[in-house]
Amino acid sequence: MIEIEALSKRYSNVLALDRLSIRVGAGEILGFLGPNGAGKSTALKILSGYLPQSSGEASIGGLSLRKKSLQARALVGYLPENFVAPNELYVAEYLRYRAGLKGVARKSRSAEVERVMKLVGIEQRAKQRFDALSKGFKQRLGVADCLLADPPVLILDEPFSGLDPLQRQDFREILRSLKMRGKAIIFSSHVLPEVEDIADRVLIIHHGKTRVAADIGELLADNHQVVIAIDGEQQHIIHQLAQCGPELSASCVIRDNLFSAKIEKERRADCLQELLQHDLQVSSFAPSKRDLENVFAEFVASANEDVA
Amino acid sequence: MSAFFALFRKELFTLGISPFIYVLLAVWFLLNALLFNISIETQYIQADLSLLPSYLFGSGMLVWLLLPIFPPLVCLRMFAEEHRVSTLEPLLTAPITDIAVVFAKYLAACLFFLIFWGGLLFFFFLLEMHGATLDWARIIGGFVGSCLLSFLFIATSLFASSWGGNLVLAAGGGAAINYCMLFVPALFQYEDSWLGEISRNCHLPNLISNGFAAALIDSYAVLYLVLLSALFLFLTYLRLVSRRWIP
Repeated sequence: MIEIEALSKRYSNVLALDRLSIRVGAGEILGFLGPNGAGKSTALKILSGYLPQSSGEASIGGLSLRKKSLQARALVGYLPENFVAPNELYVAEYLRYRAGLKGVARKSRSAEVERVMKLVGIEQRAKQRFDALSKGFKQRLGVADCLLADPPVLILDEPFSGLDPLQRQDFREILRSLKMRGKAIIFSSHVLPEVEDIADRVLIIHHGKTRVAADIGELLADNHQVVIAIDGEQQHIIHQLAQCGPELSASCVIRDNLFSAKIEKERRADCLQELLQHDLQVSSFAPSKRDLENVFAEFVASANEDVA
Repeated sequence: MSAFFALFRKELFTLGISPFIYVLLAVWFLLNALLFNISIETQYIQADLSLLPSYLFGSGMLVWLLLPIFPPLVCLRMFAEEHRVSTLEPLLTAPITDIAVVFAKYLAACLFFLIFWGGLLFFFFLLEMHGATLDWARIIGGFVGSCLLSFLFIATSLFASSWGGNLVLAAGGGAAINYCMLFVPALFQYEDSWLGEISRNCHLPNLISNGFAAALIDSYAVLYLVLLSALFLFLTYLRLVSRRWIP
């Protein structure tokens, strides 16, 4: 549904996006990550049809955003980074107005507004103005706006920002249900546990360049790191580990008696045997699970080294 | 067209519920009522009531002093405010063309501005109710001319409003363009050169008072006002789409 091929965007002397390529299919969620200023919002603004690209191609449902912008925009529900609705209108009035903008026929507008309000759980706020809504309900209103006219593609810029944990949980459920309904969703976020929880794939960009584009399962899969808990005095353990083979002698302290070592799967039994041979009281020996925050930090750090 | 009408209705509604607009309307009608009162007290208007339309709709001090300010204030919210509170991005990413956005906002402001001038017609109804014999051709002519002049000022105000989220710049810029269009030709209109000739043909109060308020449908004046309005609307459109060109 969403296709970006070698997309670049230049602001004067700054290359905000450098040959970015993305594909997101129906029923798929792509988490779009990157430090501040990496180019995420620029890419999403281009996908929403608000900004043009300097080069490359972006299309929604096969419609080029450059050549058939209006038709392509009709397929997109876009939530900007700081979503704001006019305060003069009540929630339901605002959604009616937006439904009209999105081409929903006049006689079906009320039903459409009811549908999206129910979907995101803001029916009780229909008679409130935007400023009277909590941050969570403001975001829900933004999503309700995106869902008007049932677009197959959703582009959400920082949808989790400013939400409390309960609101985030609700929001995750909303996104999951939209995924189940076959929407192609791309969202940017700095809240990495949320991305890890709901995204099928992640794209990490830095300085406008793609650093990682991978299935989230693959990305977080075993990376040979093993966490070892050893009872006893720390200095003695370190001394004993130094006597072991290369994997164990290169292990590092995580905290107290918890150590981390890079050991390939087939070598793990031998290493455990080695630890026991050195009279170490191993209470736990388990592969570590990476989380997205670590992965993100690793890639950003390596990208910074490349730039340096 | 559904998108166009949705935006048009929303703009009209927003203007209709804005307390600020009602303050403007109150000031407008108060000052016009004063002007009307002063006008009908003067001997030469009492002697010939057919002069009244050109006084109220044409070259009166209202056109010179007030009219350039009101349209920028009415149009303040249309782009500058949307830009300031970040509601412009959701609008411009909706499936509506940029030209439709400009026209929907322009037509809503024009329609709303009819209330400003339409209220003045009420004063003439009052006069007629009190037995005055009025030349309605001049009154309607003056009304149409003033509306066209206001629509031009609305177009310039929209252009000024499209420049960003600074409300002072939007209002001040719009008023400045409008005053320039009024005063610059006035400065040179008595010169015996090509500049004087152009100035006389561009002098807006003259176009209204000599044409419309004299019950004449002056095709030159209509064309001039409509084309100038179209030019500023086009510039507004260019300003809006320029976000796509800025490197």
